[in-house]
Amino acid sequence: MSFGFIAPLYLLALLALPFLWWLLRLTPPKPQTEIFPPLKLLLKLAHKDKTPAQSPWWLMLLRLGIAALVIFALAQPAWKPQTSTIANGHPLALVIDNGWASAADWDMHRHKARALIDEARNNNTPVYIIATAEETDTAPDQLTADAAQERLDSLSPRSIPVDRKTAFARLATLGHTTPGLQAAYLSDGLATKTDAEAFSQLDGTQISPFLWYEGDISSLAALCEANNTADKLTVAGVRTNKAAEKAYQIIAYDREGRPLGEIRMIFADGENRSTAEMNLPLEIRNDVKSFRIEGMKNAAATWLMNTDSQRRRIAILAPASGELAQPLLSPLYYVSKALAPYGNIIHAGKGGLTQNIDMLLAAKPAVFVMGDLSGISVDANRKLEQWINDGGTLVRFAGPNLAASTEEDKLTPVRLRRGERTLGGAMSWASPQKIAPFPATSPFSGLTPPADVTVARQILAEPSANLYEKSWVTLADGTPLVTAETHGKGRIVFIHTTADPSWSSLPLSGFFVEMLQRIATIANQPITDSRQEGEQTLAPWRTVAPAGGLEQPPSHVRPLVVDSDKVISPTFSTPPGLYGGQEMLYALNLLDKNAAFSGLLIPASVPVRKLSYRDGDRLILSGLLWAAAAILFAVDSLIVLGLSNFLHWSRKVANSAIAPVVVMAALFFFSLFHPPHAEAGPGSGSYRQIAATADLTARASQTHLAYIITGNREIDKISKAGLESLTQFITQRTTINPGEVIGLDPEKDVLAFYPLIYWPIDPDSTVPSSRAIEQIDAYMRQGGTVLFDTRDQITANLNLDNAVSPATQRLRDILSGLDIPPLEPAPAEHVIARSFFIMPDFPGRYRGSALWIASTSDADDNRPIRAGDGVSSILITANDFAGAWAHDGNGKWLFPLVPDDTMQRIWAFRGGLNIVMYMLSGNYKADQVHAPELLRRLGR
Amino acid sequence: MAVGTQTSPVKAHSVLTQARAHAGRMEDLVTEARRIASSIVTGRYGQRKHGQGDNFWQFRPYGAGEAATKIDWRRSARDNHTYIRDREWAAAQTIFLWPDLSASMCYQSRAAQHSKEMRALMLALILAEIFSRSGERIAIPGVLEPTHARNGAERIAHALAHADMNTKTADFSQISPYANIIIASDFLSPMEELEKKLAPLVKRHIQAHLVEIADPAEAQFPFAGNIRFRDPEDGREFTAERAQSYRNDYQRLYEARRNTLATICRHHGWSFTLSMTDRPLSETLHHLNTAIRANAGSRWGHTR
Repeated sequence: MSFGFIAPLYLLALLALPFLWWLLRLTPPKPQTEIFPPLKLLLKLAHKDKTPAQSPWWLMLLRLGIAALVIFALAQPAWKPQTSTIANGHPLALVIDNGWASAADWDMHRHKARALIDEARNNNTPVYIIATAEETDTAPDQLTADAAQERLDSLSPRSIPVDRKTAFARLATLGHTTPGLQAAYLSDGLATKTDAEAFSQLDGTQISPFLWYEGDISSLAALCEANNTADKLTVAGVRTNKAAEKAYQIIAYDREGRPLGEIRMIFADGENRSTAEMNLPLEIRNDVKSFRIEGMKNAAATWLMNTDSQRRRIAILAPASGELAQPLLSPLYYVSKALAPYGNIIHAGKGGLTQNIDMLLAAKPAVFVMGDLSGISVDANRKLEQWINDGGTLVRFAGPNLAASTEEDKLTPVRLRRGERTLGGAMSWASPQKIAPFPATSPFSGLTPPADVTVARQILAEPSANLYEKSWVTLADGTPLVTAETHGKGRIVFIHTTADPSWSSLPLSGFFVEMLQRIATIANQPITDSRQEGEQTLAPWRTVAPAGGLEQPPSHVRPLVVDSDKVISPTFSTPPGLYGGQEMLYALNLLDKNAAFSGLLIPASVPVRKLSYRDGDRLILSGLLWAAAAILFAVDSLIVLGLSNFLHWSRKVANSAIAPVVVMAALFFFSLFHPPHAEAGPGSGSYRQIAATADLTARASQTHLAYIITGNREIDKISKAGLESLTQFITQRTTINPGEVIGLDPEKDVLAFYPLIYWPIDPDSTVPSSRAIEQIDAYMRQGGTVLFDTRDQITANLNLDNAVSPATQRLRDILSGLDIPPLEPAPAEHVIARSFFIMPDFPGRYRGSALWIASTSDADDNRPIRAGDGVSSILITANDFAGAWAHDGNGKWLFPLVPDDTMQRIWAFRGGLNIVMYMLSGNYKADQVHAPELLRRLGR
Repeated sequence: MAVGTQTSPVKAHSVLTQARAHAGRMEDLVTEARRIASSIVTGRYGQRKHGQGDNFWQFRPYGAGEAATKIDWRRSARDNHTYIRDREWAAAQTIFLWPDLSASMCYQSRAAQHSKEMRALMLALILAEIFSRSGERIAIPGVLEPTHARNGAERIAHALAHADMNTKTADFSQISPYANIIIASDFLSPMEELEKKLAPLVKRHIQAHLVEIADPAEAQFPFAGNIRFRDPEDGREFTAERAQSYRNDYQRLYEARRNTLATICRHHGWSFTLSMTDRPLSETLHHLNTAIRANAGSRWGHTR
């Protein structure tokens, strides 16, 4: 038990505290001198308060307190309750659990082991190290403390269970051979099945003292089962601690480690088992290769999916070859479409029937779908039967071939009556039959029978005693539509109608898809051909890392021998992981579905001294002191702010600096005393949303002129001022009443509300981001118009070498990302020159540049006014419109015009009005322009 | 580091030691003034009334007693009346310049390009150059009599170098009526004083153009903490413990003062231009150019 400082020299700084007191007390900060010509104005405000020249004594004390706390914190006070654990002069045997359960706390375990080795070094005693999840054939060597340290550093947790039996056998041997041995067992705390056996080996040894560090398994949680069922993935988990309700996040990964989905697994209060269901689309579900508990650092928190819960291979054999040439006409087209998302479809080649069957069976399919086929050779028949007995599922469809065939076909679940039954045929039906409710024994019993499926033709079964039992689906009149029979491990399913819609509407219905998928789901997967190989050797592909997740197999991993009869459990050389080739992976998991966690118990026969890993750790108190100093500092800041602002508190609470500080402090305390899991509800977000919505509503409810913020403050100011005076001009002259001018960031803002966006090109600014260009492109496609202004007409004819100006170059850069219609200089008879004023040209600050506009196709000479369909999405000028419009609000124009002609400014405004009018009214004005003429003629 | 510094003013009593350097500085200023002046579009300001000039103004019926040589025979031949061709009066005007070079102008903050005094001096020289080039007569009240010279800038520089501008207060009472005056100052003296000073201008119907030269530090008040402020004019001091707490109120007062000044100007039909020393001088010149033209009568809305 001791209390001390790690860096006591810092405490000398405490001597400086009285000096600090004197300093704070005696020397108020010296004011900085500033020359300030408008001092007379400032003197009018001289009634303002002054802070006291000296801080009050308690504030000084507070500050000294902060200084003292900082000094103490720097000195790192430490609380160390215990010093020595092992006995002096006895060799120390260190048994360390490095199985999967120790991975989470491994640092703590190793830290403790290191402390023990340090003590052994101080006592000069030899050390033996025995790890319980290592290779079994190494005997413990007597090591010096340094060598033991190295050995310890080389140990790491494994993703396999511990083997205490072997480890303690070695300890017992050591105990017999080494007199006076003492042992320390750093356990992971998890019981195994062989614990009793393991500890009984220690009977009769004279190991004393025997220190036992009990591991903490209370936070352990792991996955112990996962199934890919017909419509969902179910995952089962197990945990140690039953006490409180706890939720874990389970993430599903594919074979490349990409997350596919996640689900919460909630362990109820008092339960140590739980399941979670993950609803994913079938295709994605089949790709799931592993599950992990998020944040759980142990190998058992990773569950690997076996291949039998994966996609099945489905062989399809159609009656006619040449199937692939005309896939849409193939009778099995509907079948392959229905099954394609559920399995790998294998089609037959161009060979003969027997050859095709051989080929398809060689691919080891789970389901074999056979179209309307008869006359299968005896050899092929035998192979098919063998395959079915081994677990294959044969699905056959009826059809004219089968109906016409005369020979007995063995590969049907029921005996078929020759000749099909047809609506209006010999065995006449009154009307096409519907499907009856499914029998309870049918695998389809959960589904509702489709009301819209009618069957016009079918092949009947010979009546027999067990016909009803074999029927999965019957028609309303009781005749079978789908029959099935189990053969060995597999089964034969027969569908009494065709796979194409010629006999029934079944293939067109959604039920057909469900039916086939259900059949495929319940089909077995023949993993291996037991006839050929009794056991199979699979190379390791990925192994589970000790901290969870998959990794490349370490070098000590050996191929796994899979024997279908034996249960394989992970060992040192075959840790949990995925074994096999790319096509078929065998998953070896750490736990089985009955796994349960319980704490390790050491029988009373072994005299242990129970210790905790946390014993003997020194507790460094600096953090607390730092926190206290920070809190006091915050209090000090509040006081300082409060002192200077308190007098004006009532007057200017809103804009004083203390308000946000108080709010922040309130938030801080709120978060302190509020349960930490209470996440920010919809509150804050929705306020922001409402504010944003209100803003958008305001912008959408009135016409606004808008400009693009270039980032150059000067240009932006001109754009804003120019559009503002244009707004004013428009309001004076027309009934358009535009709202305030809005600056837009094309990357972030919603552009859709503005009929016209003015874009001054600044050659020095950065090129807009691709997202901005996309937004602009979308805006222009949706009917918006951008008015580009390169503002460089004054330099237009200065270049003799035809080089483009930087602004034009920048405009080209921007336009290269946009979908631009063909352009032309706006002709005098274009509607834009007629929409309000009659404009000969469109001058701005300069005169001479044409206004480029989307080309109107094929000018019709008979029409006096040209207008395209809709509004041009782009206008380009170099005349610097905004420069001509810009007005400083005090009766002065910001820029003189070139040439300086008063009329030119008026033309510039008229042009702006025309453009806005054109934007708002489109080619409507092209019609209106005739109105006076029409009225004149009518009047006459 | 202090935000602003007091720049060395042009001291009259140290003419002997500083005249040379000062004149050199003036020389530089004149060179730069010429450069800027040449980039500004200038012209003679038409008086918008008939008088002596080159441009055609109007045809007017011949009245008895007028010189027969004035008759425009070509026009008169078209009908039965006799017409006289009037020309637009384009008399040279006298333009007074008043750069305020008092102590408060000798101030430059970190954000500014040069001191306010420098700005006022440059402005005066540039305008002198522009106006003398376009044939106007220029003068500085109390320093330089109205002069018609091609080297107006040099003359003004010379006159200013020899006058003790620091102590000289503007005396506008001697300015001839209907003249133009451009006053470049920071206008920081109290409003009543200012109004008193400007009163003679109003009385004599003088067209004044006020250019307020301001330092960004004066407008933004970027001070914080414990600051002792000193007035460069009278050396008064004021210590603010927390300068930032004055910022909002000060800015309001400062804006109010400028607005009052602008209102006075509008009231008298004068122009008011703001010239911040952190903005380029050419901007001020553009504004001034627009303002002078606007005062000459062509303003959008009026001619419509």
